[in-house]
Amino acid sequence: MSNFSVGFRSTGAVQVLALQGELDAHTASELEAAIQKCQDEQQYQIVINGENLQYISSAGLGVFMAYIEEVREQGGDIKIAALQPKVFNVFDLLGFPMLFDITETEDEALTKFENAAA
Amino acid sequence: MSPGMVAACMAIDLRAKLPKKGPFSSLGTRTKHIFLFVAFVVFYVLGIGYHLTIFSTQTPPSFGVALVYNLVILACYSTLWLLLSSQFKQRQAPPIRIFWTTLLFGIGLIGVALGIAQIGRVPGFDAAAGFDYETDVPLTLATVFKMNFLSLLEAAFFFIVLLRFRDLVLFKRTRSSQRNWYLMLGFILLAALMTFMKPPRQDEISFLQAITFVPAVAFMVINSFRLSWIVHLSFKEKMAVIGLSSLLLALLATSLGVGGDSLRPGVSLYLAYYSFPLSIFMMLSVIFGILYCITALLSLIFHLPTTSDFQRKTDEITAMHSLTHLVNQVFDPENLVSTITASPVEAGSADAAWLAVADPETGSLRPRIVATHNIAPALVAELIDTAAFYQEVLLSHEPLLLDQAPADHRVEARPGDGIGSLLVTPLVTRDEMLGALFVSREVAHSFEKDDIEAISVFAAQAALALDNARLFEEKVEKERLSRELAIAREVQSKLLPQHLPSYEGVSISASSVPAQEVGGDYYDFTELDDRRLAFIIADVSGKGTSAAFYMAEMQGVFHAVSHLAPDPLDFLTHANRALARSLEKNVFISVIYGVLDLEKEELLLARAGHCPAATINLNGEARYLRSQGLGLGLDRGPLFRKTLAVERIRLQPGDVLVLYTDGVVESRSPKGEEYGYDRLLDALAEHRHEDADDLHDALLADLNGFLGGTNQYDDDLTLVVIKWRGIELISAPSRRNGEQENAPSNVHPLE
Amino acid sequence: MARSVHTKTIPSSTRYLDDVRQFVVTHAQEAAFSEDTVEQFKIAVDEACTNIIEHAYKGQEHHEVDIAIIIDPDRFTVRIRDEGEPFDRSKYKEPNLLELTQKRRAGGLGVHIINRLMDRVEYRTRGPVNEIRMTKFRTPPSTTNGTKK
Repeated sequence: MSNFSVGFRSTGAVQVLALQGELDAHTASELEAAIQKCQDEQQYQIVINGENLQYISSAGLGVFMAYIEEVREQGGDIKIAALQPKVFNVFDLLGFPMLFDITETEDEALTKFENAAA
Repeated sequence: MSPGMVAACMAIDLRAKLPKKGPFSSLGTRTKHIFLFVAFVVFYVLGIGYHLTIFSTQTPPSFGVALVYNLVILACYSTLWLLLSSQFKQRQAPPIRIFWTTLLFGIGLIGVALGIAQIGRVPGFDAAAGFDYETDVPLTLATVFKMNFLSLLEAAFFFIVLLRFRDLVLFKRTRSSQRNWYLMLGFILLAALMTFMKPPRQDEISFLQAITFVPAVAFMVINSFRLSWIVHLSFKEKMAVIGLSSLLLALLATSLGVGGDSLRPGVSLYLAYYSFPLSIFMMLSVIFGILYCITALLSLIFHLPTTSDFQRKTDEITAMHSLTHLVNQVFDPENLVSTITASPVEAGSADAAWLAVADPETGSLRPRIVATHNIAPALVAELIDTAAFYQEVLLSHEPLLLDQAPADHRVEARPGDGIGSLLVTPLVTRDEMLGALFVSREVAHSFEKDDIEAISVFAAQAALALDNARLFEEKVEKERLSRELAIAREVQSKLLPQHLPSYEGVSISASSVPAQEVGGDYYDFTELDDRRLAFIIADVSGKGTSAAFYMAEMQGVFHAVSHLAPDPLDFLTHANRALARSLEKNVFISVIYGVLDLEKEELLLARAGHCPAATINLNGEARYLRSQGLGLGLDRGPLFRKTLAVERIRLQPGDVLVLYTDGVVESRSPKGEEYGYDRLLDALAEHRHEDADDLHDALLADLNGFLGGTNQYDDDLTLVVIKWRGIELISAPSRRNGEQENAPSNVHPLE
Repeated sequence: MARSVHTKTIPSSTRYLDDVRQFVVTHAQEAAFSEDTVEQFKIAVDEACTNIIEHAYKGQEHHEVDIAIIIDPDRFTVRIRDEGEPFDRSKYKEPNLLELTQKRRAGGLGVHIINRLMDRVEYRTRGPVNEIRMTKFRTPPSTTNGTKK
């Protein structure tokens, strides 16, 4: 049983989702539910905090890809922050940095949102 | 070793398809079959042994052993093919039979196969259907036997499918269809052999292998369109085959989907492990089977609506053809023409028919309707201008079709009179048109191309039959005539004297050659007593059988009356009266009648209109005896006797009397000159010393020489030579017409 | 120095992916591969199994997936077998990320990952059993990065 959880935090206009555990095909639905929740609440500025994300597979990546277009259309974005190196490698392998805004820290991501708003 | 053996196996296969030559044909068929069967069993058992060995050692075989095994398997299934092929060659089954037997086979075999496949399944991820995943070695004994047994079943079934479908594809055997079939088999075989010695772990088909599939599939498609057996089926049969072929299609399609993998659909894995080439062959066979079933189904369905029409048309044409035979058997002209007109109507090709024939008297201008069927002659005369149609067809010698007969001005019929379409076909033989066959149908536009052709064929036969009947009649007539003539000729030959009389002191020679079979000339002699000889020569104006009969009468009169009234005047008067009654008007008989008196040494002679007799003495003084007299039959009254003169001549030794008919003097040379009286006297003078026979022959020779030696006479030719010897000179014995010989050695004293 | 083989069979459900990952990680670590390499195995196996569950078995959970780890002196191979629909390699094209996002599709990424991370990837089908073999060769200690390609 893979353990995975999504923590919600909001900082001003930005929703921060803190991922914890291993994100695979089985647990991807949880992430999907979380992002969907943001959509429903019309929170289009999302930061994914991967500090405690131990593992990700293409299923998880797939979730991000599924929502990014829509979120960006709504003027928001999904920024990914504080990935562990081994997890970042996976992102990098698929060329995600081109498509996604990946930052070192959560604050960086938040700042970017602020700047964008200004 | 390997290429040679492969070639040998292929050669065996090929030889099975080509006419058998070589060592096999020298054995009997039975022996051949036994030989093949034994070979098959041996190879098959070797295969089982190979697999058992691998199973027991659980190690994959070496290359060499595997090679031998593969060749053995190829040989094994080649012999199986040969065996099955010869089995099915013997029976040419009807299409329905082919389908349901194949279907039953299939259901049976596949049912058994499926059942057996369930036995002893090896589960788990280490075994791919009972074979080791890595090494392809069979993991259980059950696997070994399943593999061998199921492969045999599968191979047998698909071989049977191919062979049975071969009968359908080659239903109509032509060179090209046979060639296409064998090419298809050849390419399938080639495609299969491309995988020879490749293990079934091959996950990809190489480009080369794929290339060989292309011609195989191409020929499969070509052969799928050989469906000529379909048109011959009746409606019910077509329905039955639709059902059967659908089922067979389902069976084959299922076998395509069941078992196997993406690489080899339709063939069980066991077969693939057993022999890769064999599995490819089977796969292609299934595909062909499916293709053929599909095209057959579609074709059957599309042919259904036209079945009855086709059947009807075939029946009609068959009926017409069978009637042509009937026509040729009838010789009686009346019967013949009514058969000719009845046939098209009875065959169903027409509603009414009539036959018009050129009237021999008036030529082809006014044809006569000699027979009608299903329509009254009076109605034909009323509605159709037969002569006009006859004329047109006479000029063209081609059939004439009126799709809407009432629209033509030569047809008086109105729509509803029963003449909707009209077809006029000439009866032509030896470029001559003997007549025309009219056939009509009630409905317009009712004659199709097939009908016209069938009736044209029939008309040609009818023309021949009519011609034959005519020729037959003529022959019969000719025979009758020649028989008549033969009779007359025989009669006539009996009229002329068989033997010439022999009298001492007289030598006689005579001959008569008729111009045609029967002539009108007559000569005869009769002995009145031992010192008097009566003779006669006569010529009827006219020829043929009637002339001969008059001659017969003359002979009767001569032999009867000459004894009673030997005097020439009396005889001829009696003869005239007797014959005048029976002679037709304008027929007369010219006669010279005479009596030779040997005691008195005198000749009495009367000439009734005949060519004057020639006479010559030893001195060479010659003259014609031109006494007057009418021919017999010209006057039936007293004028005849009044005008008849009698000559009395004293006979001197060496005197010659020549009697003849006008054929002698009137014969013309090639230049057109007549022989004439003078030449006769000259010839007579030249040969007067000779005896009667020699003299006679010499005269004829002179005549023939004059005529150019053709011996063709326009008129009857009769020549009688009488020589009065008196004093007999010692001379060589001369020929006689009759049997009597003169005695030349007698010497008579001079008178 | 001889070969060692470790097998595990799981039901065809994504809830067992974690177990598989653990299984692979354990043996990879035992085989003294670097951490990075271990991670690569982890994800490769995950992707492979995910694909099998989702595509070969179409998400049906009553099947089985067989995972075997074969450790040779020079290489580490993960062999996964299933009895589902065979993977049709002809239909696989390298995914274009941009295209995929636009089409909102996430499939095909797994294969891509496997191909990028592993040294050799082989597919086989024997009868009903499909197999994927992913192999990584042991690198000499001088090379730092475990990732090739």
